[in-house]
Amino acid sequence: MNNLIIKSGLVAVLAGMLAIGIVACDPKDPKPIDEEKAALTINITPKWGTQTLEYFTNYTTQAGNDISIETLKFFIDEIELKKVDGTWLKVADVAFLDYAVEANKKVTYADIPEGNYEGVRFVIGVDSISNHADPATFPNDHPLNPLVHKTMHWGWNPGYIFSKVEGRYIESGLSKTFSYHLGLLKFSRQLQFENQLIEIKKGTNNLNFNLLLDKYFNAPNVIDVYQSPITHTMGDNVLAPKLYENTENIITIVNP
Amino acid sequence: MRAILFICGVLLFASCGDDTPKNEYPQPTPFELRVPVGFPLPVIPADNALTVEGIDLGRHLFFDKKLSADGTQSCGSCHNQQMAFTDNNKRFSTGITGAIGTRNAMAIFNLTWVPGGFFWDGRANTLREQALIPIEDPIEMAHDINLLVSQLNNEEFYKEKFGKAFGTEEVDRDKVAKALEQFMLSIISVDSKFDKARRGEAALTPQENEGFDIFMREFRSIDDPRPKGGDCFHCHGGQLFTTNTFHNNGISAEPFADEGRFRVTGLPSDKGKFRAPSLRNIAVSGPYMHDGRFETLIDVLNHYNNGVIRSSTLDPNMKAVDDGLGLTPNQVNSLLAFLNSLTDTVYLNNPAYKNPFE
Repeated sequence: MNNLIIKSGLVAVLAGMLAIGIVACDPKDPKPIDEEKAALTINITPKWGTQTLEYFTNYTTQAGNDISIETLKFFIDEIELKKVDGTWLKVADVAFLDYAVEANKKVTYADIPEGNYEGVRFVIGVDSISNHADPATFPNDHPLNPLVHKTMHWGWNPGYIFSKVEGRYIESGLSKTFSYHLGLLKFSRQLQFENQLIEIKKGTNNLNFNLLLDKYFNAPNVIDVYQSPITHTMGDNVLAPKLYENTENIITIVNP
Repeated sequence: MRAILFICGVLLFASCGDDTPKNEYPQPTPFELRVPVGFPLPVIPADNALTVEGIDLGRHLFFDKKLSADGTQSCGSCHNQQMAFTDNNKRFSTGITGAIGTRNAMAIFNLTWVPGGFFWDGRANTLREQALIPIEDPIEMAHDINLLVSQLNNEEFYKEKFGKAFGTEEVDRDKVAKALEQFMLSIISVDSKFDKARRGEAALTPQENEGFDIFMREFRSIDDPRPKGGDCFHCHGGQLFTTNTFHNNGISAEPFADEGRFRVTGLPSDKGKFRAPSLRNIAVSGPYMHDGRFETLIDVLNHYNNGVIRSSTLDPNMKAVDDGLGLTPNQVNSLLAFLNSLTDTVYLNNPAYKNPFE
């Protein structure tokens, strides 16, 4: 009971301090709040054709494969906006997108310089310095820390797995799987969108993109998943380059 | 501002009145985990900072048989430090009533790097939540936490320890959980031969190095002449030797006798999935898998080499389902040698983790 009284007393004191603090606060104090700055949300929606991609749903590829997707994860990095003078301004670093986790389906960056821009570009991958850094050196809430991405690092040697697309299909009555992992700096893909009108102003700004996952299997290279269900990039000079080529036009911008 | 502080001081003083408890305790002593370079920073709950006194209390609770209904079992009864805090090579543990569990007792170390999802199926979000479940499980320690709290509140020994750890002697459910959480978070394994080799304090043998190489190497198709990898790192990669994720590793056919993660999430795609455990100290923590079905590490390696069972939730990275990994007996032995290099005798014998009642 004594402890309860002390606790109650403390709560009262703290509540009192808070109330006094609010009253005492000088409204002229320069206290920046979120709405006073510009934030940028990058929202990349996976699609299959015109439909929003659904996990564990059958889709037919151009190769005639009936596949379902159950993993789609990738890093984006080096987010840059094109200024009106034609130069590119880096505004944000790496983020981890994982479409199995609601919170990781989009990313919001704070403190983006306000202004009018004419383009945006970013990389699917991880910059070269970070890619070969010790993952443990990143803070525990950083996208590149293993406690955050969990499965996107190759261990000590080659660096990060930039993207993972995994899924399943039925062949001859058997449940089979495919697993495509792309990494290594040579397979880092920069995607650039110019001739846009992008106004970054106070509050949250949105840049929306579609990720056309059907292209990953279909264009320009038709991938036969049944015949080639695996690449983890290492030692693969056939499938990994084809999939990489298929990422060239995989993301489209929706409404700048 | 001075005026505000004065008012606060008066209020605080007044609120205590004459009922100030007899025993006042100083702030507990902060405890810093020893984490070598290469490991992520420890993750400690914001409302349960590690302290010397909190860990000491947690250790006493962990090894105290009062935590079971009839006073015959402690947490330590089924979590033996010498076996990486697993249950003495038993497939399943026996509770106080003689009832036998259905899942293999899990190892305890490096839990500061487990970002939630404790137990084989990840049903406990936090370690403190996990800590109370075996105490109340009718087939384990079968106690009632409220009764336990009453017992502890009647013991000067524990009142003092709770006072030192939390500032007040009053025992409650939350403090019991937090103390156990602190002790378990303090248990660290970072000194295996493998760790020492990475720090330049020891050298792996050629066989251990070959095993590590196989461990880290991607699997190649059966027709590929290049050396085959074990592809182990996808689920057991990095310094922690686990990705803290849930997988179906092809040990069971459908319908699954134990549906694992599905029981927690209700997602059909989670049927037959279980936590990928850390492989640190794996040589001393058998038997293996959630149900302890494999007695030895050789059994485990044989499973991955040529025993994977196809099912609708088999992990897409279990690629050797058709033809097996094709590892030779020598390669299997090298993998085994490497896994043995993950045994950490410093941790297994650390006096800070021992039973304080012995």
